[in-house]
Amino acid sequence: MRKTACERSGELVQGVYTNEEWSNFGALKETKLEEEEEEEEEEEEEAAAVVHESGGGGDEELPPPPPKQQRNESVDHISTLRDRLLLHILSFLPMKQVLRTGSLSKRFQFLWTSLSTLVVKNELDFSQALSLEYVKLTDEVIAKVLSVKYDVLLKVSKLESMKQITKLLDISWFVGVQCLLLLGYIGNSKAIGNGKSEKITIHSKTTNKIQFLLKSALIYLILSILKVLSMAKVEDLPSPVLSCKMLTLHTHIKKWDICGIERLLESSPYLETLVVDMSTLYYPTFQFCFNFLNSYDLDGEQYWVSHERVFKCWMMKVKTIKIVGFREVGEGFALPLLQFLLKNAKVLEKMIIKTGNSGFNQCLT
Amino acid sequence: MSSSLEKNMLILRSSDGEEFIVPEVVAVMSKAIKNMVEDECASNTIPVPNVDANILAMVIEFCKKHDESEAEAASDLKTFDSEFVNRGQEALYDLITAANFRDVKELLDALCQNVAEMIKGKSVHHIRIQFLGYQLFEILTSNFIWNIWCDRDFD
Repeated sequence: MRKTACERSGELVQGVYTNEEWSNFGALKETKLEEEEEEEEEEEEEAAAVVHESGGGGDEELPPPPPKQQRNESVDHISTLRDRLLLHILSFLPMKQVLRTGSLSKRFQFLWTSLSTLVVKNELDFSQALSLEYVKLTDEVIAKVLSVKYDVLLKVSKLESMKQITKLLDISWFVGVQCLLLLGYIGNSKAIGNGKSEKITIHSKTTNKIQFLLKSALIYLILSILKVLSMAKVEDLPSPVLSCKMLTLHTHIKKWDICGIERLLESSPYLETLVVDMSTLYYPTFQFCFNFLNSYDLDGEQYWVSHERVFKCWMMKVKTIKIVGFREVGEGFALPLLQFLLKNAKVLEKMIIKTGNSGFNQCLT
Repeated sequence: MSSSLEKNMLILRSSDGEEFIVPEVVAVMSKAIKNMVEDECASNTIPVPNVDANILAMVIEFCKKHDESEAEAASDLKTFDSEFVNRGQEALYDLITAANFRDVKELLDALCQNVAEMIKGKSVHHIRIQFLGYQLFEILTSNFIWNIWCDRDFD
């Protein structure tokens, strides 16, 4: 019974993996098979013991998940480490990969939020994209989706039912898909949205059909993280509390970043050093759902003023603010943010602003 | 080396009772032992609970090398480090725990860096299989998703 499951899984994976990966997996599978053969006997005994519980009809079904110890016996050593040590390991990883660990398991889901240094960057690579168009999400398709490479964008068109979409969201969370593009026309959809480390579900105001931007094609999903956070903020969805002391934002501070920045600031109560790097040239364009844009209007200057009251008790520990490559881009959301930070950071000791090529301007407060 | 032999020697006793004679300079690379020595609460034999002989031997090997080669080229040390940490996962995590417990910063950093390198660039379910001990067939069955969402505790 177990063997057939393995064989089946082998077939499913084969089509999708690159050779290298496949050979790795092949090796892995072989060892697994051996292990299982050994374990099979034990299991039969166990099975005999519990046969009255399971009944006889289980032959056709997939094997039940193996008992916990069995899995631990195989390779699960990393879980023996304490959180502090796991965090130490995570601190050697690039941020992108750190976020990806959020979908590993329950233990890892929020582990990364305890890192003391966070870097938020718009990293979207549209070159690795997998398109699913006009497909039905059968189990086989799902299995293939599950075995795709990590930072894949999943583009899906012509999804008809709500059920399919939720299913897809589950999968993409599961695989750690960074960005889910739902293309085309989605009838009766309610939930679109996919955060990687945490499932963010965004309910559109209209539960009816949503018309998407650019004719009937295109729309969005994300993980250009600030924007995700912006959406989460606007829609009042929870986000985890971060225990970082140093936060680096790579952003141009555009209109739809500010909510995200606010969300980050308000969820980092231990923040001591804030670095805003505006010098990055690469800035992926990103489009929100048209309806979404229409339902909310943000005004750069007014935004911070109107939210000041809420911020009274935050930013109690911020001592250093550093802004690299300061310039006013586009609609002018940077200066208001600066004013706001100066006004509200109560124990601020140092603020460094570095514009393009000129030297440092320092001001002490 | 001869100079360090003249200095005080310490005896470290592992959890399973084996004893290692180690120069003090080497032993104090562990901050925990250093504190004990400085506070003079250590007799000649220092028990190292939670760390068995195998692992303790490895840790001592690492510390010795680092102590000896302080003057040597840093690149040599790097090669040694990378070879040293190149072990099976089980030993690796035991070492990490030991390094953390005894507070040997260099070792801890080298080990954690190594694990991070192993994780780097891998897909999520790759990591799940390699590090968390999932079974391949388990992942490829769709009820696994349900399991992950709901009730299985993976710790």
